[in-house]
Amino acid sequence: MSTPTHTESTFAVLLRDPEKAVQACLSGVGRRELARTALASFFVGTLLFGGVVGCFRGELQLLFAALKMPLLLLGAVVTTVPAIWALGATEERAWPMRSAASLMLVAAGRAALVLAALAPLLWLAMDLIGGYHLSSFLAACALGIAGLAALSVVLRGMRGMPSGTLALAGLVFGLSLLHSGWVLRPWLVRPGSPEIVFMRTERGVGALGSLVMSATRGAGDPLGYESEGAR
Amino acid sequence: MEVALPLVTRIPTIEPTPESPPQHSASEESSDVHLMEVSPLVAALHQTKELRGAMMRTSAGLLASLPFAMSAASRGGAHWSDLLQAVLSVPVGLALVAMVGVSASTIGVSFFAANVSPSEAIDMASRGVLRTGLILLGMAPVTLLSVLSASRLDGLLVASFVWAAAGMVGTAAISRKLVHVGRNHDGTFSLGAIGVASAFTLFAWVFGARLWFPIASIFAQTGGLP
Repeated sequence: MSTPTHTESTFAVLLRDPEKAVQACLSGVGRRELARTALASFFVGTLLFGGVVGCFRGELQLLFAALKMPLLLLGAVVTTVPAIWALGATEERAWPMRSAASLMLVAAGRAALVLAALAPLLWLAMDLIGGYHLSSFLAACALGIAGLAALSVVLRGMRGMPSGTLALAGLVFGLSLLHSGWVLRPWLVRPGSPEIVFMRTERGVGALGSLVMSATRGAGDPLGYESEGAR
Repeated sequence: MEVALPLVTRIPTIEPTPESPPQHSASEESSDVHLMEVSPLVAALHQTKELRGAMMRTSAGLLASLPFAMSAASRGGAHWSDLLQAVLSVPVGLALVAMVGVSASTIGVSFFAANVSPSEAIDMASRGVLRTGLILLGMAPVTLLSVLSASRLDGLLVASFVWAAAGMVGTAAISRKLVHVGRNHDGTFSLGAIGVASAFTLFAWVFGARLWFPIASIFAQTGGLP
């Protein structure tokens, strides 16, 4: 039987058996319970990870980052679901939008569980090393690892489609995550910044350009002492 | 988009012949076959035959491209007539590529002894429009997010990428079909049909790039790039 059994909890399916979770999303059997569990895991995991990211600066940023982290992933999920659905429909897979939505939700739930598991490690690393660029790099790595866990679920759901379509789906998710993160910045708050704000409102700077600039600056000064005046 | 009927079928593809998707109960399921819920509307779009199906697919594809066009042109500051031109250029361009490109290509492959009926050509064009429209519809949210989030250059890059990706999916479907119908009598691929398919792809890409100008100019009008 391809759907979750009564003896196995939906949380266990979400955590340990992505294949069964994917089948539940596509067939609709047990989908509602699984989506509910994935949503709960999603909020708990992202709140925890967001709180740890906000610990870099502390004070009010802890609360802000914890509140914004679920919004970041939710924004990426909401913008990726229609793309995943359309890519499937283009390959003559007549799945309804709710199948694509539950698939993405399960993927995000698993990613959030991975983030929750990585949060203590990130916390320790930030406490021991403490530099701005290195901390943001480590946080990005944790998000990348969680993204891989999510991607494995999505790819299982889109099995049978051409590799170009799968690459396109991954690219759309990456772009959505990047731009959602950019809209909701700041996350760590630079040590030199005088005040903590919920969202930065200045325009004219792009996510892609800033990413390149930040990576170049971070490579030269990983701890961020010189560029951020945090000595 | 979908109608909520709890149908299930095999993945990954729809069976091509029947008018309605096949149904399998859970007890019929074998270990290597997964069940999948089916959206009757999407299934009908792909499966309905003849002229009615082609009209449905073309209309759906053209309508589906509008949210993307509106998302790409949503950067503020341009005159309303420029915005209207940018929004309309996407479905009009799609329709033109399908009508002119596929008609010319059908005539082209006919020179290589391929037996392509007008209804087949219409079906081919409508499937290309539907695929492109669906991709544009699905990518409209990420385009809107990118256009509204920060810099003009980012928005333009993402919108251009989506336009190119959708064009690639649509032209690939039509080109594959052209090569398929233009096969030699012994079943091998005809060099002429491959040439016609390549010419169609080139035409669609160049024409698509030209059609992109009104939308690109919206980004330029809002203060210069980036």
